[in-house]
Amino acid sequence: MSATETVTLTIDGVAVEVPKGTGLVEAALAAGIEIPVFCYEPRLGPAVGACRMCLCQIEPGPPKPQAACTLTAQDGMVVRTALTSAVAADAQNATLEFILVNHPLDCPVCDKGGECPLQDLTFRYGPGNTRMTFPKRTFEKPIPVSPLIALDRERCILCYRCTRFSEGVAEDGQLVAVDRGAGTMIATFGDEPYRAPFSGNVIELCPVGALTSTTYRFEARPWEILDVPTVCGMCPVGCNVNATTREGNVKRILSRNHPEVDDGWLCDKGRFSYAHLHAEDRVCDPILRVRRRGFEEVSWERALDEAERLLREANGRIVTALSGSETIEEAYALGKLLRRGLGAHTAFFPEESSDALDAFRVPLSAIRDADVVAVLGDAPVVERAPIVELWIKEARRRGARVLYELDEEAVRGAETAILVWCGPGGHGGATVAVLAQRLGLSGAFYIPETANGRGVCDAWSCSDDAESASPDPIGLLIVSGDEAAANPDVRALAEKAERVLVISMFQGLAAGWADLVLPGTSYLERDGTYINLEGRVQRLRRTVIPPVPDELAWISKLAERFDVELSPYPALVFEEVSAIAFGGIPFGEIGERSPLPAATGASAQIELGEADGPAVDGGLRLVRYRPLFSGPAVERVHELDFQRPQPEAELSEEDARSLGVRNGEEITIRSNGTSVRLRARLSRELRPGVVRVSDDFAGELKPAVEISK
Amino acid sequence: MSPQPLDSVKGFAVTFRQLFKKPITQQYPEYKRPVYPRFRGRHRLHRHENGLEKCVGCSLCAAACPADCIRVVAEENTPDNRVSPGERYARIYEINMSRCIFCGYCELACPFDAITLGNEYEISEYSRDDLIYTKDMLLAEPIKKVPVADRDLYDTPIPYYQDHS
Ligand code: SF4
Ligand code: SF4
Ligand code: SF4
Ligand code: SF4
Ligand code: FES
Repeated sequence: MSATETVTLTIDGVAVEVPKGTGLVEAALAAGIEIPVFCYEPRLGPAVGACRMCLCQIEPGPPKPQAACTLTAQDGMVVRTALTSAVAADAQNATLEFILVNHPLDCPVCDKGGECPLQDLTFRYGPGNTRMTFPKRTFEKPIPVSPLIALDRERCILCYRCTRFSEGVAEDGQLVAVDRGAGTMIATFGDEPYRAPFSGNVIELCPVGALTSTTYRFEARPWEILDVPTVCGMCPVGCNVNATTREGNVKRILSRNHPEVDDGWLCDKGRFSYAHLHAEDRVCDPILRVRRRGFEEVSWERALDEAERLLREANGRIVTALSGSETIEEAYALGKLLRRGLGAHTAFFPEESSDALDAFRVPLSAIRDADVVAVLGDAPVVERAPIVELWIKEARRRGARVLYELDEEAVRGAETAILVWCGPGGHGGATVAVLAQRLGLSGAFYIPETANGRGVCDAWSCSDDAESASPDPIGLLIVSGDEAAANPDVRALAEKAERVLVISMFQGLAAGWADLVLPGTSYLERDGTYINLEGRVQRLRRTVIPPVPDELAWISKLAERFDVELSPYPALVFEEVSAIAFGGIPFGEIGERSPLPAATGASAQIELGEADGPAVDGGLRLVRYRPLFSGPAVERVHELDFQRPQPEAELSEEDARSLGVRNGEEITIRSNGTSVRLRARLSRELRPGVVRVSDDFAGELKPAVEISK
Repeated sequence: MSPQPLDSVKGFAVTFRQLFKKPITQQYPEYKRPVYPRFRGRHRLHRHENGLEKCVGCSLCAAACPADCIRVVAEENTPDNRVSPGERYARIYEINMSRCIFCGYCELACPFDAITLGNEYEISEYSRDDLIYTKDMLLAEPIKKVPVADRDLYDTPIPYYQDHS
């Protein structure tokens, strides 16, 4: 961008210079003056001027107050807010009085009370009294819009933030305003729940207590809570969040806008799955398999003795299966203990990872500004990294072409093009890096399946240099984390291992096949760092004290017994890793909104593993994906059950036409003797020749499938 | 300052005069001095006439409390478990009396007149734990720990709390 043009205007007698195109609300803020707003939210697209809270006297213009939020700063404009203009003050008073005509003012029972813009602005600007003596309009309340969101129509001030989000940001169009005038209501279609991956954002957007979270309902007041800034660990995006805690429990998750990562949006998985901390089957004590009696809870002292014995008896024939949800510090600590202390270098990673994309590193927000976005790999982006889907949608709304099949001409022709790889055959980003290099692009993303797969892999490789052959047979399999414990491949390995040690949060996952279970902790309970899909190192903070010692604490104890020096403090462990992998940045400097490291110079030669996925001749290629609302944590949060995938198969429109399948029709998908029957859903975001089914319903299907009605 | 013998004598004269006055010591607890009607003593939680609790668990009292000694944990009323009118009630309501400074801000803050400060001041305990008053204790009649003195012995009007508890 060239040097930005500026305009000069006067607000309440203060002259300010702002870049051209700045909204009046922001311009006033630059002058240190607040123009109060309810409906204005630039992230939701153009202002709608619904609430009239921002009325100001503005010259040049009509002689009546105007909604400042709908205007941009112009040269020579003279703006008078309620501070200096009696007309504007009058108009604002009237607006508030009107808004409150039907507002129930049940603040004491309302969850928004204490953090409610309507309360605050009424207190500061309102007339303080009402002249309306007639009864208020009432509705039945609360109405469950979904198992996660409660709607109180009486409190709604019709700012349309929620519907604008649903229509214009998440593009699910499920939350709408019905009826007219004073009878206008926010509603979903019929009695259908608001079932969409981003529904929770409307709770944060609503400026009053009309849309509230059912999981936070009556849990705490703003003066009773502590917001801990941390990072979501449920997917590779790593949205910045605040965890609201009260009395040592996480009560809700709020977004903490990182404009380059999440733009202040969260998906429902990140927002609501914190309840897994209190899962019924949480492991709180080490569990040991004992002869005859089955399993027994043992003390930590005994558990560490047992762990030591298992490690020694395995004689180096140890394989470690990692989850990709460990912090960098944990993975490094585990690596250091096992590799330096025991020479056990073999690890089983949840997925491939590669540093090839470091040369094409750009922030996620770059997607928004691209002209062409090519989404490759065939797996649904929203199921792996939901916020990336929002960036892609925003790009599309801004006029970008979004391709789902690589059109090299379009990509080369674009001023800025971004590649996003999501799906099998990505080789940890190498595939898309090769493409980006060939096409001369500066930005490309690979969407991994695990939240910190890259970080875990880097940390493991930092912990020692030596290599060793995979042991056969496996003396001891160490399963680190719940995702690994739930992974069928890891289970298969366990069958072959003589002994199994599982680190897991949940009894349901660990008991039965492990010789020793050590309790695990969640991302909300750890201090440490994660690397997100951009390559950004972000800081996790301990939001609540876990019921068990965290991994680092006991790994360092265990390390002592093998003469490996290991600190129990994440800051010190990170220092060691950082010196090797992150150029020595100290722990404290990662900060609350961490910056993206600069892209590295293009690597000379990127190595690609074996060729992409199995070739499929004729028929269709089945892409199975792990749905967003799945995994050990989500499965333990029953409020999220309604978000689980539907029995559907996604088809491209072309394929559907040639097969004669209509949207919503039942189809049979067949391969190698097995078949499943699912509802067809036509998708514009799928290239021909591919059919997409979530893991929950794909059963035993092989990659090559046929479809019949 | 130089010694001032005369002033000392004046001082002792005051003391001397008191020796011949009737003592004003009151025997406590046999005699209890009544308190002013707006005396701020031990808290009470109140109920509506239909038996439902007035408190809705809004925590406004906790917000107002300068000693931070009120703990409110709210919950939703259900048809099977209706504790207060409306949607919300206080599942836990605790006041830590060892920290309370009896300022009465909680009473002022309460939008439903659910909490008031009564006139009882005899609330000593042998253990700090016993000074954490729970909702049940605050809703119930205060237990009179010290035997109530003989009404006839009061030298001033009957204390407020005797007629209004
Ligand atoms: S939305 Fe705000 S003003 Fe309305 S009842 Fe709730 S707290 Fe009070
Ligand atoms: S429900 Fe909330 S966000 Fe939606 S229109 Fe009403 S006040 Fe605005
Ligand atoms: S009287 Fe004052 S210190 Fe005591 S509980 Fe009430 S607000 Fe708190
Ligand atoms: S006593 Fe009053 S102020 Fe305190 S929680 Fe109950 S209703 Fe709210
Ligand atoms: S903020 Fe301007 S009309 Fe609502």
